[in-house]
Amino acid sequence: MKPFKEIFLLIGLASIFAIVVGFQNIKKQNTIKNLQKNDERKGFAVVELFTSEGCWSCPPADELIEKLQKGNNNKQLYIMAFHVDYWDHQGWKDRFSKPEFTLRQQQYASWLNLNTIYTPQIVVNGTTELIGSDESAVLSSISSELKKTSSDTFVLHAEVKSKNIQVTYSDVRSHKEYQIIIALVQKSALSKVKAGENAGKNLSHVQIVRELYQQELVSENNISIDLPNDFNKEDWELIGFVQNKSNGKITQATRFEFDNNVYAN
Amino acid sequence: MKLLSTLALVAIMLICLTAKGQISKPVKWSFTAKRTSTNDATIYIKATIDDGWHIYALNNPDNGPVRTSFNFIPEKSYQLSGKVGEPKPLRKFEKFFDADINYFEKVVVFQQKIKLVDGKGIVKGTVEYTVCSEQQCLPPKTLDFSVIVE
Repeated sequence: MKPFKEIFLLIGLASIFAIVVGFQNIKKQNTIKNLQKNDERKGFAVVELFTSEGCWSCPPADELIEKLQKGNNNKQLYIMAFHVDYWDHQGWKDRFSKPEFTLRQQQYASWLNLNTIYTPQIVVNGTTELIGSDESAVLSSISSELKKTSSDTFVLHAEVKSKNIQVTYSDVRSHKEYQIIIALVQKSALSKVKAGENAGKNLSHVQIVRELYQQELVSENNISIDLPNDFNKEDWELIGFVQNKSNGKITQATRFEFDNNVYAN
Repeated sequence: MKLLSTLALVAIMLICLTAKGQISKPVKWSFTAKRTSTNDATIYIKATIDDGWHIYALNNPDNGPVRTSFNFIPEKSYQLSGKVGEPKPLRKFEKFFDADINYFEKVVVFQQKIKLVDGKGIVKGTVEYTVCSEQQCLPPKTLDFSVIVE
């Protein structure tokens, strides 16, 4: 009888474990749905993922932000994926990677007193950093930021010209300790990786930062962004935010949709 | 006692569900040399790896993770004897790479045999490696080393 008792005990424990995991997954799905609901009275969450096609631990984090972005109606949720360049050396260059995105991650390491950078890493509102695939922690952090009281926003406008995008921002309170950052974001892309850690795989990406501009904060200004060859109005957007230069805290954020119908819910 | 051990097991499972990674420098390297005869010596390169982290072995598939690799700077005072040796690595099938991946946890000592021309010398080189946990990888790093052989 004794072995049977132990077998039943093990089956019971395994069942409890499976039920707990099942409940956690349902809870996560519900949390994501709640985060995606639009509520402009609440705070905002700027979510920056540092990732790479050349990093084997990154796809779960890419999948997490894809889940957050897919079906998102929350205008206060700003998601950006920065493809860093330090995984590019294995005969494969992540076509979305740029050295300035690695520099941005290093800047966060300095602001947040981290010993090292790593992938995948998510930073929320410039103040909280998490492992990008740690779904519970990431969702909890975003949820906590969205529950905060709303802050002032500013106006972002853009006109697409033949060779560039003329961006204008206004209604920002000028402050010498802050900078304004404008990201030109491609909403989705699919890559077939030819070499490196993810060779042979089709990798799906969302909210890829393609261009990043930052300048001293004044109440209003114009920025000219080079027009990428693959740009189209439907699949790209601008995200602008105001960030403290000494601690990285993001205090205001807004977006400009080239296609006005995206958030018409 | 049985109840206690059962509760402990459940607690461990729950901890596993909520465990979080830590930011750290998880590999420490040390380099030493040992003379084995008048003109022979072995360079020992030891990696001490924090719990929960691993580095990759010298031999891994091309489409696998960043391998540990060594580069010895040629010098008149010595010549390399053969290639860098490593102990038998841990091995597991990684679905992501669709291949068996070789790696090391805790401690690993790599060895390189050398032949000395005048019975002494300085062996200089670099080691390139990547350290990963189950959830994150630190950027590939190249570390300079220099070992005096007397």
